Amino acid sequence: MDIDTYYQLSGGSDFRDVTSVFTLASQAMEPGSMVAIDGFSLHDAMTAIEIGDPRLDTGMQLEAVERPEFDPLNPLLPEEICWIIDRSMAYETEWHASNQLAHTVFTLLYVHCLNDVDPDILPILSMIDLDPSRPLELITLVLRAYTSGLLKSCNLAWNELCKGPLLDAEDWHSDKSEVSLLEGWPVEAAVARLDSGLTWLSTTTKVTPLWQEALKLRLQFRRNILLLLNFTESLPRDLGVFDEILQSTRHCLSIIRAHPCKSITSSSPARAAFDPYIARRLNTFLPVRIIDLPSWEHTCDAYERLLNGWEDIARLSKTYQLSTWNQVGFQQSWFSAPVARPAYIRSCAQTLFFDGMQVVHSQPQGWLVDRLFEETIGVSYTVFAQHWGGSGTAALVELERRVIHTVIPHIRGLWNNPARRRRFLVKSILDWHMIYDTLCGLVESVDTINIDPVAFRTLNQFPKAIVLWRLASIREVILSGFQLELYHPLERPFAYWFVAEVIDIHLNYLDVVLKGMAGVVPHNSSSRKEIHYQHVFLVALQAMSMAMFMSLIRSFLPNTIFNQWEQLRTNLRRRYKWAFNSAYDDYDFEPVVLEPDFTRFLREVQEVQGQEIMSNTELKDHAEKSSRSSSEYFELAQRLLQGLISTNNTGTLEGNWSHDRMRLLLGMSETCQELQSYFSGSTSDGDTSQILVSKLDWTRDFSNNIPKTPWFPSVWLQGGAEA
Amino acid sequence: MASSAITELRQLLNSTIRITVADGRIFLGSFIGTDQPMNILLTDTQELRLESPATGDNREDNELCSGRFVGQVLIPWKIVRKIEVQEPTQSQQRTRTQLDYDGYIL
Repeated sequence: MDIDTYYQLSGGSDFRDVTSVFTLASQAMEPGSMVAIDGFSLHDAMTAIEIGDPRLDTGMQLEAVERPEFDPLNPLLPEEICWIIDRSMAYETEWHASNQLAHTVFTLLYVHCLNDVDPDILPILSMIDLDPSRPLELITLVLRAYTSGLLKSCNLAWNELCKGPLLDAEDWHSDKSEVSLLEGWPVEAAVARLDSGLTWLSTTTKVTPLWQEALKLRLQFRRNILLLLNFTESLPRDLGVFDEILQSTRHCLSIIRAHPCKSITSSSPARAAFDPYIARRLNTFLPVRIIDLPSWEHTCDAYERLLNGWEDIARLSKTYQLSTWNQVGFQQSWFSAPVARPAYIRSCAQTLFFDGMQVVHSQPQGWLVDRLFEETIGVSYTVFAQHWGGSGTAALVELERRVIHTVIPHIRGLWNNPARRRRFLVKSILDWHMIYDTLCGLVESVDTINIDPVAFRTLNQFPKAIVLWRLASIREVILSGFQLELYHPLERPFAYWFVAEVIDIHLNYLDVVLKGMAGVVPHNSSSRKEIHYQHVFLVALQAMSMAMFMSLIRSFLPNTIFNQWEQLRTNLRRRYKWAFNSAYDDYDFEPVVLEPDFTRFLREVQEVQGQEIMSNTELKDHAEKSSRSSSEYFELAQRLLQGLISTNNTGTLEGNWSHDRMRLLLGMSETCQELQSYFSGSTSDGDTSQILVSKLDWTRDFSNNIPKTPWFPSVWLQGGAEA
Repeated sequence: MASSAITELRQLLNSTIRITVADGRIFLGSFIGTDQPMNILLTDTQELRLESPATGDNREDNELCSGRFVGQVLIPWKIVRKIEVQEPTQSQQRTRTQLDYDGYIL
């Protein structure tokens, strides 16, 4: 670097050395004294970044890192270009997995020098290929087109994530470190650049056919991803085109997956194209973090999940059933690991449901009120509204506003991250009660003398519809505690017991709603079909929960719950604080389920422990008189689940979502069998209680094995292999 | 002697100073204070990295070479290699004076 450049870059040449002034002043100053501008405070000093401190100074070079020299115009072999593209794809999936751009996509140095490889402004001499095996077009046309497409793809995903309700720094990272994602550049231009690269690859004789195909596939894949990102916004308008592109992308991915680019030599100049320490030189305060690149299989899996997500989004874009949105929202969080649900897809689902103005693209917000009642009890909201002068009248405005303000966050919240999703559900429990309270008040105000009894019975169904949604939320809040691994071992029996109690009340309400449908709702209606499915499923879930409660209580040493009750009760009050919310006192009508009955729980614990010490004859007598044994509960659950499986009953869900539901049923059925044989085997072997529990695994480690059910444990055999 | 050194240091407050640190980076910012061990505080600071090609970074033509904004920083004396202050721009000496028109009769 010449002296002029040095001075030009570092502030100019009119500087005078004053190091000695500082040295002398330091000697002259008293310890603890300061020389500072007026108004300077210690707080100002505290907020400064300390240079040289590795925790704060992101630009600090911790050790001498030997980096190969990067020259963007350094000619590369086709396989080296392929290697760079594959590596950048892995980094893109890592950004979608909630990492920083500065640690992933921006580590590709071509991102920062696209203009330097622009063939239109390069001097003609640079364009002459010195090595025929390394044509410069591979960089100026192919890699430049790919990198531009990559940046534009990130830009489109970034825009969607900014628009949606997901949180920056929690679900994704927005920091662009002042690096351009080609924001002002149209998608069409990026596509045209990729097309130019594809055309050159199709016609050139400078690249062998094998590498031509490999590079063309990668460019085509990028082009498709870009188009999918672009079309997502306009769904369901271009659904046919979207589906075609999706299929084509799946095809590209399957070939790319099967033919990964082999690693390049350690001395290859292509290795200089990535600088994992780039954050040190970008406008960011982020500390440098080296991301371990996932394997090629993992990268392809991540793209596969993105494509599956797009398929779901395309189907949701033409789904106008509120209950389907609700069920799909629940299901997507039950089975896949959080990492399997890219923030981009979750954000798309949320903005697709409600974009701030309309619901599912075209429906007014009032549509939600109609759908909620129509789908839950099979009766149109207009039947209810006509008694108060029709929808939108003064008497109903508050009710309709509450329904809209509860349903929208409820559905959108299902695509939040697991912890936030649970918090949203907890909040919605009170919101649903507020609607219930308003509805009860309205029904109570009806003049029962001048109304037909059948019509009044129908009106009375409307508050019950809300109870069903509220109970489903409560159930999900309790069960999601298992998915989030919130519960202490002593809390687990209580959670299973409480959820069984909630389901019991839910089943009673389903019966009431089904009776109410008699003569009003046709037998083959979707509402009835879904209620029938829910009924059988909930009985099975309740039976499994009761079986787990009983088995876990028996696995403890006698009186464990009673001995530790004081501490346990405090923990439970904290864990279920939503159930002890004093805000319910402000409403006239009592909530259907609220505080868990601790006395009842303890009585049942005592009963289960009592069974354990009874003789076989006593146990048989007792079983006949009162409750089932845990084994019988598992049997009952499995029988019911098998009934659903054999009749292929998945309620109103269709297509892939129906397969997901079936997967849940199969997983639960297998779990029933596994746990039943395990618990009965352990009991007959005289297995001690502590060993029994230690073999049950509630952890949600998706990396080793996908759990069969979201809420029940897996059984581990000796040696760590899963049963 | 002692007070004059401190006075001279005080006169540097609010001026633009350039500090070269041990790892080769240069910090260009406004000097707002220091304590007795010479922990120097700069505000509105730019970080500049001007490695030569020999160190493995050849980015003379690279936009990254222009540095980045790091805001308010504290630079400990132990890593300081050189401190420079920007000379105030010399005001052009005025040699022309307004003509005295009083003598003219219009």
